[in-house]
Amino acid sequence: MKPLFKMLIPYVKQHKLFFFFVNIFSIAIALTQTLFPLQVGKLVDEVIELDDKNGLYVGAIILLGLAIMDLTFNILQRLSATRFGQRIIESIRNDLYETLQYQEMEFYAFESVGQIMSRTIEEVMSLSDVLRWAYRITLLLIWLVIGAVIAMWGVSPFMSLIFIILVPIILIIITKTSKKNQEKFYHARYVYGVANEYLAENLSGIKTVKSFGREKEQIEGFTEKTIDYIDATMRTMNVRAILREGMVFLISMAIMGLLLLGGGLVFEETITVGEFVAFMILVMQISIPGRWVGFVGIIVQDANAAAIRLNELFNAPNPLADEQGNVDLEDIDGSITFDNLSFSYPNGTEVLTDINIHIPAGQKVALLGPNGAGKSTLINLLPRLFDPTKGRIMIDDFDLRDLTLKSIRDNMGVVHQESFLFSMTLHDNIAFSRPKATREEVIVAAKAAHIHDFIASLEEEYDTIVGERGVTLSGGQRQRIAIARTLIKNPPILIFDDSVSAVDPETEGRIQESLECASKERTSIIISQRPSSLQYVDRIIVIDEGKIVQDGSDKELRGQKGIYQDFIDAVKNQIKYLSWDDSFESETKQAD
Amino acid sequence: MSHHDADKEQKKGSFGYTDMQLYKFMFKYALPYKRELLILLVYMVFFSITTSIGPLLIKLAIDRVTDASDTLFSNSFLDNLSDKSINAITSIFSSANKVWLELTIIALLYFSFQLITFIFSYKRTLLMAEVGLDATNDLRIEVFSHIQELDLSYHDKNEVGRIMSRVTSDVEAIRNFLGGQVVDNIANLMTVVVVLIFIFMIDPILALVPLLLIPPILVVGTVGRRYSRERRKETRRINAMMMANIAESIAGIKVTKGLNREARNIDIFQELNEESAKAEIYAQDITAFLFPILLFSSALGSVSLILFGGLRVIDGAISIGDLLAFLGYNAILFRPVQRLGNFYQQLQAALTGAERVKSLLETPTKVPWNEDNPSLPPIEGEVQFEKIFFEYEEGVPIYEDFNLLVPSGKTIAFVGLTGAGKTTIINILSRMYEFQEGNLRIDGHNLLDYSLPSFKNQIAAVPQDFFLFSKSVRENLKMGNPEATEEQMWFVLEQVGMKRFVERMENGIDTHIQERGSRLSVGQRQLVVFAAVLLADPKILILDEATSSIDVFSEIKIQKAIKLLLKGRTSFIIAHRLSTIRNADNIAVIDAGKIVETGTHEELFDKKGAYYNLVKSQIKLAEV
Ligand SMILES: Nc1ncnc2c1ncn2[C@@H]1O[C@H](COP(=O)(O)OP(=O)(O)OP(=O)(O)O)[C@@H](O)[C@H]1O
Ligand SMILES: Nc1ncnc2c1ncn2[C@@H]1O[C@H](COP(=O)(O)OP(=O)(O)OP(=O)(O)O)[C@@H](O)[C@H]1O
Ligand SMILES: [Mg+2]
Ligand SMILES: [Mg+2]
Repeated sequence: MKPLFKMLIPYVKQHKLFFFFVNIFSIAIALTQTLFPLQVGKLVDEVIELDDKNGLYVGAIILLGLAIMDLTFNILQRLSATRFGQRIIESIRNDLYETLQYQEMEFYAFESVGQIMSRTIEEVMSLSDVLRWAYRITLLLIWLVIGAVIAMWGVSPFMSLIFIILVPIILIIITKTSKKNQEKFYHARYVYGVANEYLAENLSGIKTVKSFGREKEQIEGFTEKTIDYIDATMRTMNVRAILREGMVFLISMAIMGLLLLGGGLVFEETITVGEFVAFMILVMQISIPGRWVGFVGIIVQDANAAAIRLNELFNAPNPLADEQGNVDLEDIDGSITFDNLSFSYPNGTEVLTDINIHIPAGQKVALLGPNGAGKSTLINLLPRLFDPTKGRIMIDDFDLRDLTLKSIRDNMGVVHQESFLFSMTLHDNIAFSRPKATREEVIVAAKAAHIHDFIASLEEEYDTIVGERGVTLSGGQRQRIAIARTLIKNPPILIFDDSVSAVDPETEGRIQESLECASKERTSIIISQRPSSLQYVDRIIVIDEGKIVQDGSDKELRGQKGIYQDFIDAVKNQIKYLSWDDSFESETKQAD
Repeated sequence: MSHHDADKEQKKGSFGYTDMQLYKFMFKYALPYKRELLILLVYMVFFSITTSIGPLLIKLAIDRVTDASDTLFSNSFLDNLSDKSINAITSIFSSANKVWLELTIIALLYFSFQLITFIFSYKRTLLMAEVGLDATNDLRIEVFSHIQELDLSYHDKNEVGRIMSRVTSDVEAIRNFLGGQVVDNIANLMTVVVVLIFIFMIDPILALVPLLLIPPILVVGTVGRRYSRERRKETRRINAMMMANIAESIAGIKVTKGLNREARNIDIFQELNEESAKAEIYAQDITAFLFPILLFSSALGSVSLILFGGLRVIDGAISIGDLLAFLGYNAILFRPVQRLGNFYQQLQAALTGAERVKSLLETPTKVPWNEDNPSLPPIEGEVQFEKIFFEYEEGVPIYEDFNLLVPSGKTIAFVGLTGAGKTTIINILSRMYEFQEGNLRIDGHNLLDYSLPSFKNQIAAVPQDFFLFSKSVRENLKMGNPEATEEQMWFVLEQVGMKRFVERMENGIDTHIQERGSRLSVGQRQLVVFAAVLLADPKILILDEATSSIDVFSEIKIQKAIKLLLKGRTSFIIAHRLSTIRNADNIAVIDAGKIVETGTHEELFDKKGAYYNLVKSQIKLAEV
């Protein structure tokens, strides 16, 4: 049960006050609940046996007072336990979310949305059961046993010691069963996560599912996953049932044993009937939380499994975390150097090999290469989404690894190949990197990305909320919002990864003009499968299978045998194919 | 509008079901397990009887040791039996004391009763859990299936995380109820009845004391319920928003990283989380009062019993043992009552869950599956749009009067500016969204008269925003055709130029390609989807920007595959790279919800209209 405690202790410290109240009120409850039976016992011995009706009335009023105190403390204890539990849950979730936000891409290659969600929601919930309920019950039980031992000591030390026997019995059972149960609980949670994963994927990919008409197969797949979940959960049920009902059984047995023993002692006249009554009520009061001990055990073991799963998130290494002494990148010129760089993805073969590039500040570079050549990989290294496996990347004269992550990314604007929008307003999407940007700034960026006119035509203009991932926009509209989102940042280094792939030729032309304008005096890297970007770059770098195969200006590379020339030829061919009419070509020339 | 329950979620408590409907809804799923439920009932009867016997035995013991009665059971048959056995034992252990022996007998009796109780309750718990799991699994799969049927206008409005909260947390709340609490409470209520019978047998007058306490408890419970329901609902609503937030934050993490947005996202989440904590506390505070009040009622029972019972003992009407038994029964009697507090909480959670799940299940899909309609016969593939009126949002029509005939086996291409409405036509044809007016005919049949799956079997599409699953390449290819053979898969991979690459991946075709296919480059992903569609053998084929991220060389290569693919099918192609569509039998230029030109490449080219201008811009862009 170590992971659970280790995880919770810092949070308990953080919420000391509520913790204090839970404890104080538990003691108060235990106190009133110990006094109650003693009073009853006294009544039986000194009042009922002596036929003293007046004494009975007085005694009953005292009992009523104790009951009311018990009621008050109980309410207060629960109110504080709720706050104690819920506030800790809140803190854990916040920390978890923060950890997730600051985790780097490498982590997300191995963690799916479904699993993460079941961790942050379900796993955290099971901790809340421990805090709100199990802790309270356990505490009450402990205090009641202590109270009972003390209370009975005066009557019969022998009987008071009997209570203590209960403690080791309970402890042994819970700890003995712990390890094996743990695995079952962990497995059930994991399998639940897997089902969640399937669900999350299905929902994200619903359009593709429908496009291929694969709904039936998806239902079958999901059914399979949930059956796994049922099996795994059923396996924990056996444990749950034995522990829970077995504990009730043991406690009932112990209680009856105690009572009969007490009865015998009454007979032997070692104790009085009243003392026996007090003893009996004490025992029954202990049995209330006592019956739940097995359940507490289950909850704690289950929560422990949850804590292990949470720890896997908390303790996932973050190799890119800022180290001490990292400096902020400020007022840069914007030159970029890839120095003898190689890179492999954590699970794959080498994707980039011996890359050496120096891009002077202000230069515009086009990256060209076939699918899977490594273009996106290369530019993902710039904002340090990953670290190179060999060699280094420098901005101006700084190695990226000596800089703070935030300052690196502040100085760069990347339009990724896939345009991901968030389900918020268009304004907020464009102002994503600068939440405080004014509407005017947003409009300037939108105009540069040639999306302003469209937005203005919408009923709610910039306050239109887009669907998740931007689904309520057309492909080209999405892409242009993503461009605007980067342009508003106004960074010294601009990177565009195939960012006009989804727009028509006319719009493409206009966007290229804006990009050309935006990248003035900025270091820019442009990846494109279209020839349009080649028109305004200073330099072309061709990558193939992770290596630089050509590097130079258009003039230098043209005519050289290689991918660049092949690319030009292919494009020319395609165009020729479009404009089989010679007069057309000459006409467009004139139109310029 | 009943369609968007995201909107509904904004308002509190507007699902509009009565509790009765919700109970019916939940128990409907337990009903198929009649046999199990019957067995459960038997277990429960035994459970309540055996639990009720305990205090009775205490009474016997105390009465004996306090000399309140001469015989052990006050029943001639049982007394005879016990006397005989005691005599038999005393003859062996002559020194043994009779009272201790009697106590031992009682202990043994009690032990056996407890053992039986244990076995019954163990079995009960297991069976209960199983029924709960099975019943809610039926529900979960039903919900999942329904989600598959819902059209995209639903999915557009409801984020992944939000829908997930229905299938997970809400269904789980129902499971907790069906698989535990409800049966537990029935068992406890049975115990209450049995105990009441027992105590009436002991002393009918004193038995009135606990009986009188029950109605006020019920009142407290009902009052508490009224408040807790609203508050519970609020927690579920915020929970759904939180799940949506988490899911989206993870999906968009790359953008967040690149734009240094973490801190702001954390702020947003923390606000939501704070709201959630507050709502939870607010909801639980009700039980913080409810439960102690129930406990108090039990204490009140004890006090009254001691007062009135004490008076009756003094009057000599009952024995001390009777009083003790009453105190014992008081505890048993109030045990279920105390648990009512807990039960209410779970019940409210379950009802709230049921409400949310039921409303999802009752959200009609706008594109009905019509599985009872006749199947569409194998089609030739002629497609006719007839006076189609379509809008995503009410009042913002994209098409007001769209007409188009595509003869079977022909290829039609759509071109036009971004946002012109090309994808929308495809969305209508592949039945992602329902059109509001007009007719869609396939081979002259009105599509709405036929079952949807029978149509979907004959059409396949590569959507513009395609998606790969985090499974193996093989599994993804199977999206196109679940029955594809190994050879066929390699063949199509070869055709799209991915064979060599796939072979070289760590596990070949079985390599897991990570979430959304992020193990592959974007172009490679598109090639894999393309390969999947090559495996499908549909009569109607749709390629929406299926080659947008593919490099020029691969594109030239797969043009051949495309040509092959189009043969004998009715095809719809959308591409901004005009060379891709040059060979289409017919090209339609779409602009602002209208077809502005149609014709072959040559015809349109000569026309020098919109198409001509598009070609012109493309050529200008390609001037290198
Ligand atoms: N997360 C990953 N793990 C392992 N390998 C990967 C990962 N992402 C990409 N790769 C592999 O690295 C190579 C380069 O991918 P990259 O995305 O950089 O290509 P690209 O040049 O951008 O291609 P495209 O033009 O298709 O976008 C590809 O072979 C790809 O399969
Ligand atoms: N799910 C949706 N909900 C609401 N509006 C939508 C939805 N999808 C698209 N639209 C709107 O409908 C119009 C037509 O979009 P459509 O996707 O058909 O354009 P497109 O011609 O395919 O453009 P592109 O070339 O950029 O893909 C656009 O203005 C878009 O914003
Ligand atoms: Mg790429
Ligand atoms: Mg489109």
